[in-house]
Amino acid sequence: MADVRLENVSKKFGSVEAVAAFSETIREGEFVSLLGPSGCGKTTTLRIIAGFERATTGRVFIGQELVSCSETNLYKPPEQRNIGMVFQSYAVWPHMNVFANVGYPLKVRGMDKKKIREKVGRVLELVHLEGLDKRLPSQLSGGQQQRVALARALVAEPALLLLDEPLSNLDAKLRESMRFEIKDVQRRLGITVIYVTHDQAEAMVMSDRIIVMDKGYVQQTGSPREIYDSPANRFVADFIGLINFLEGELVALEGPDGVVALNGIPGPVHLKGRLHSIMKAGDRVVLAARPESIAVLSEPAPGAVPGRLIRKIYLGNEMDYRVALGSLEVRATGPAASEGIAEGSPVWLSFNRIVVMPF
Amino acid sequence: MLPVSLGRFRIPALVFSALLGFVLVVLPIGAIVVTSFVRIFGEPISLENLSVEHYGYILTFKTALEAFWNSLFMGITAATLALLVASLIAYYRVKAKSPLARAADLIATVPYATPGTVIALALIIAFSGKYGLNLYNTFSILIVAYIVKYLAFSVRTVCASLEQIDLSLEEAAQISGASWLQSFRDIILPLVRPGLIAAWFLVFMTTFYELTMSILLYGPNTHNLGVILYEMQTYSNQQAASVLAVLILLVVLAGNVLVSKITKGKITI
Repeated sequence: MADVRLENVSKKFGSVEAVAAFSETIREGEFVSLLGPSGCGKTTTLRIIAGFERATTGRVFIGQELVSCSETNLYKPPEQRNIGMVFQSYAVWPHMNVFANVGYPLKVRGMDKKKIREKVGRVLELVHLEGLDKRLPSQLSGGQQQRVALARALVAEPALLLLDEPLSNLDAKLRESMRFEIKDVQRRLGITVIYVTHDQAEAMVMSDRIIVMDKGYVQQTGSPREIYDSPANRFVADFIGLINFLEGELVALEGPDGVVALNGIPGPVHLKGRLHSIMKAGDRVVLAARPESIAVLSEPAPGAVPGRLIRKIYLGNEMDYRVALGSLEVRATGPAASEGIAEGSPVWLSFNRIVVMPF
Repeated sequence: MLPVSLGRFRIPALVFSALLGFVLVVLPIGAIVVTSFVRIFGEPISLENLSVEHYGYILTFKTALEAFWNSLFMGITAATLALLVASLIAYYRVKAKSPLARAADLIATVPYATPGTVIALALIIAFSGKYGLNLYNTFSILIVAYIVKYLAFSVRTVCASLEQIDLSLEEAAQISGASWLQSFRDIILPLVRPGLIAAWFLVFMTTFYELTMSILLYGPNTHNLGVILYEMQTYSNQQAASVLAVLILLVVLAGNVLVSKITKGKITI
């Protein structure tokens, strides 16, 4: 097991900066996701850790060992890093059967046949592929091929497991069950995992910590809860889940309390204890609120903002509301049980959680 | 391709295609096969006029046997050398994305589009001793001609099979701890093997019966099957020529079936 440390790592392809100033420590046994849209630099970062790309600047440590350093031109090739990796395309070798695929990392290490058979048997059991060792990849389903790839990545007991969008080629149902399976394997082995994905739900379910990236830069690092509840900026808030953005200006400010005049909404909104100390009156701000943190009330309440219910949709497990606030439309969700308010009637929105971000 | 419904032209189109195939392929080849069994050319084809005596003649005819061994030797040598060169070019072209290999690939395609007679002429002028190297009347000049002309076959075939190998298959080997040599031996080589075999056979079969360049380049001891076939047909014995043609056809057919089997139908001549 090993921790992974990246210090000021960057990667340029020609004039394009794929990764910029990436500094992060992944602790031993931690499950960390690199999350972001395509082209955000997450895969490049993973490939730098694996050794398939050489960083333009910076240093990479795996465990206590420096594996890449731009200043001293030190670079250890992937085959010497003792890492397991699962590729998006599975990369299961089509001309070898399951046993040969999974046993290959042990074979190139020169392990004797008896020991290989024993270890392969154990890891195939771990990924629920026992009895399929004579099959060729073409005789396996996508999910089974993915398990072969996972078993192959784990068989040599690497210090670190890297996964590059391993579930994106699977159908939705299988994807969901594989999430739990990968997480389960990680817990049982206590192995350090770095997981690349563009799927925020996947990252939320599996990760101890998420590193959100965009345009080569780290946007925010935190637990799934921190990322979801306190997004650091508009990109993170928008990328993770649904959120309403309300733009406005700080009119008055007293400590952490203040008053915001929102664009397109008559009347000020009072915020209690939500403001940063660096903010001042006159600053333009963005208020971000998740649909489930907005309560739709049929009567006025202290601090609630008046509006009109445009539409409500029954979703089975909850209600989806569209509420007009002045010229804005806000999305809110509530419990499905209450039939309550009719479309077109006046409502009051109470914001239970609101994140204030600089404009 | 989208299937197109031919409507009322379906039957006429079918008849026309079948007729064309019959006139252009079945009839001439059939004629060769039948002629090879005819005792006396020009007499009606009857049971008395059929025999295998011409097969006996060819199989004991010294010049024809020499030509067979020459063709075999030059075909094997040309195909093997072409494959070695092509593999290097293809590997650097596809895997290392080397501009030099790209250029080599382009250069290899030029002779393929050049008439064989022009290549033969160029080789005669270049390798008759005027520029220090005299290959005239040797096997070497023929083998060089075959390689120059058909290298493009091998390069294209090996490139195509290398391009099929996804980069992640090699990276998976690398991250598994395999050195470049191990990865080449265990992953790349087994996956391109059908392509290599096909590339070899493509060159071997085309050189086996080559005529256009051979007729200009052969010497007293380097005549091949194509040349002998041409001379028999022109100057002496049409039945014996037919026998030779049938035998060549059998070899090519067998090679084609083999290549098609190895590459699962992706490559044929």
